[in-house]
Amino acid sequence: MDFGRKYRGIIIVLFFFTIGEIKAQDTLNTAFVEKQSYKLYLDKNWNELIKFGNKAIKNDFDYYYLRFRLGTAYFEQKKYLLASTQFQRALKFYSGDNLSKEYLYYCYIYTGRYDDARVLSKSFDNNLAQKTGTDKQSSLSFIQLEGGIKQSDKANYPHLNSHNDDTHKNDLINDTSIYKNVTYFQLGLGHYIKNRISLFHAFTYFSQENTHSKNETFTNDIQNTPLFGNDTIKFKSTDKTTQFQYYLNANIPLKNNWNISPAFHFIHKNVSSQVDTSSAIKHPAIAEESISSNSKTSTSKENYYIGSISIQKNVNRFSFAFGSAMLYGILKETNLQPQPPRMGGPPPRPITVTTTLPSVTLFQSNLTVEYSILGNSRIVIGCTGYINYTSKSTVLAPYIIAHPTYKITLMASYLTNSGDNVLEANAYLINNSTDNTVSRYAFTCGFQISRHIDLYAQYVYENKIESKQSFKYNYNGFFAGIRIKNFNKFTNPKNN
Amino acid sequence: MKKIKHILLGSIIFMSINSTFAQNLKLAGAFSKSYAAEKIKDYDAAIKPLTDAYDNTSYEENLRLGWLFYKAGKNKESMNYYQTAVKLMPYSVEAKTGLIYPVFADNQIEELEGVYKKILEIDPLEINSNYQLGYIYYNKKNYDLAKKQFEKIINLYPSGYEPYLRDTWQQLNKTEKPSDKIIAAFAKSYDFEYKKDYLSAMNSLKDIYDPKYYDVNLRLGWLNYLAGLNKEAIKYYQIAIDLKPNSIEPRFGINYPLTALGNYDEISKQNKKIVELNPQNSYANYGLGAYYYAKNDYTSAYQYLEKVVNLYPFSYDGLILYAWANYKTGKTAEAKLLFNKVLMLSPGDTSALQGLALIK
Repeated sequence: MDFGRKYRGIIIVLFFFTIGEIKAQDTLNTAFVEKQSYKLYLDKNWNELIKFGNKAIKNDFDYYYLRFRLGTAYFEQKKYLLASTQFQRALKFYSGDNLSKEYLYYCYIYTGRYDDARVLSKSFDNNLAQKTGTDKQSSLSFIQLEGGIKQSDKANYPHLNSHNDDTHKNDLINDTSIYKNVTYFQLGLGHYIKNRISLFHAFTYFSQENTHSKNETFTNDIQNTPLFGNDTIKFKSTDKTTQFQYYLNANIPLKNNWNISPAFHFIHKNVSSQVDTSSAIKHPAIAEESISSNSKTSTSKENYYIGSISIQKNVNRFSFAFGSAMLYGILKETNLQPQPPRMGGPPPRPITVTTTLPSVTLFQSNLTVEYSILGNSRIVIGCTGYINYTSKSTVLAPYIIAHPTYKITLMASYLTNSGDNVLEANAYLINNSTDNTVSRYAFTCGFQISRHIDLYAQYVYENKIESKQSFKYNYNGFFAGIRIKNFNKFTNPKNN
Repeated sequence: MKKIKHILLGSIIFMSINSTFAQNLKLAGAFSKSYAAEKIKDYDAAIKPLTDAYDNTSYEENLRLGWLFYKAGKNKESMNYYQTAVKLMPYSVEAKTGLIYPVFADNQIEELEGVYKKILEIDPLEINSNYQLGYIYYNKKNYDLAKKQFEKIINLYPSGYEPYLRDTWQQLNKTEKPSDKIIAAFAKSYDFEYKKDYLSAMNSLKDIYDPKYYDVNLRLGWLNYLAGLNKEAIKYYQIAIDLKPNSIEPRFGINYPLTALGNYDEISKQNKKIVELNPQNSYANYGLGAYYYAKNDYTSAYQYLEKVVNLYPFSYDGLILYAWANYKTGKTAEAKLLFNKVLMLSPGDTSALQGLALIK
């Protein structure tokens, strides 16, 4: 039995004295605000109620019933973000009100604020919990699996001499880089701790093979050096990169629409390189070519530790998020180094030399401003600006998210970068390639095929710049994922 | 051995609960018949089913018989039953308050004085007993004792509680009467209030308004509330609270407009303050119990409602909510007994039947 509601009736009977008919007034007073807002509420005249209610609030009339009615008006107009503010205010006046709680719960659900909905559901009584299906909530939120490939638009990047100094101005260099496809898999898991903190774990595997070939012909035109004529050096390096990542993000909804989200990301990158060099040197004096070749293998291990935090505040149609992230990387390179020959003995084995390279650090801040055009999650526009304090560069990433129907999500985003790569989405997306992304377009489409399954696909077009030779190239990325969710009896009227 | 002891103890409690439960069911039928007869003012017929099923250990039955015998004009019998009820529930104000009726009707003033004193032992700030006892002393010309009783009321209700006491208090303290202008303004405002012209009632106090004058702020709080100007009513009541922070009168007053606005959290704050100043105040305790119950904080609700039911063990509002609070806090056996008591008080009560159905 819902005794809470009955109680409301009782205390109203205890305290509420019927008041007489009061004439409508041009100037606002409590009696008029109460009467008019109640009339508009009963008439379901939501547009007028919104206008009138906001006017009353601006004039400092602020109380439970007014906020509740205004919230209902916004809710009926599907302006869930605006409705949620009103129900939150109503609950400040009457924190035990189940009806406001129920409305607020669905406002959160319809605007994707699932974590806030969970926290709110902790205050539900048995009836409301049963009604909303939150009485048997699984601590497991979702499991997702995604994968994809990234293809370079051109496999080869031949170009001529990049040496601009006088000594090598006549040198011929044929430099070819081949970027093979990137493959990527991720297993993600979302769960809750005591319905208060949501955690997201992601395990990622990433692999790519690059080859870099270079033929250099040196023309020796320096006077007084008669010894050498034209020399040719062939160089080929093959790098195989494999990367394992673990990402952990906690989302903690706080009071007054604040949200704090600390995150940690660990990346272990392993690059094994094979460098084959052969050189043909012409000796003018003896007109004989001297040929030598050399093969060298090396591995480099890179560990990156990233800490990030994001603090978010929702204010009506706006959402603001401020974040900071710090990356620290330790790079170790292991080379097989040949040893000088020893007289009379077998050729010495090369020894392993591990060199710790200078550590990498990155420190950045970001600010996101998001605006809901319709006061719900139908069309949301936003922009994130990043400042990379380490490279003193900036990144700007505007985006638009649309839900043409409740089951379809569309997103388009653009990113422009004036310097080094940044850590995106609370350090979820790490671009630790030495090649910087100059710009990026991304299009995502999500579709809810059932109450339990979401499918999504993403196309990404990236403009990159190679770090050593500064040539430009592009990537086309194709990603797809499946998310299995709703492991509980969770009731969402829009799903049914 | 310890285990056997536990089992035996459990069995005794279980049997005792079941036996009480069976007795309650029997009594519920008798109560139902008695209400039907009382409705047509046939008090003898109302008494009969209860005396047929009489159980001298039943507080509820003795209380009801006390009332019915009083209504039938049989004061001696009424007193006997009420006194038995008092013995069964010594901390109940309800049975003692009932006893006042036949004692007063029998003109036993000394006995009456004793009853009021007994009530004040339980709740020293109980308004009616202080008021009545004060006037008993006053009529005996024992003004010091009268003043002592009245002072307790005036501290909680600084406006004087009601006009007669206000005059007596002024007379006892030899304080100056308000000016004629103030008296006239108040008189005018009462006239307008009677005619439901609340704006004119407020206007009539305009000339004498003083932000430091408690009475006028309290009155404006009330008149604004009646006019539906709840925000303004709150403002005036708040001034009155600030002027007399240890009084409960403006706090009860401010609860009216706060209820009209639905600001129940603020009401609970005022009720807490009232309970601080007047710990046995059953209205404030009930309000807090109901507030916490609505918030699903059943443990807190239980604490406040327990106080109400201790003072008034057989009054509907406190009893039904207390029964639910027992149920919600897992005290199922107690809840069952309480729901059955509610059925005696209100036969066929939907809420009590729902509670019993859940327990079964």
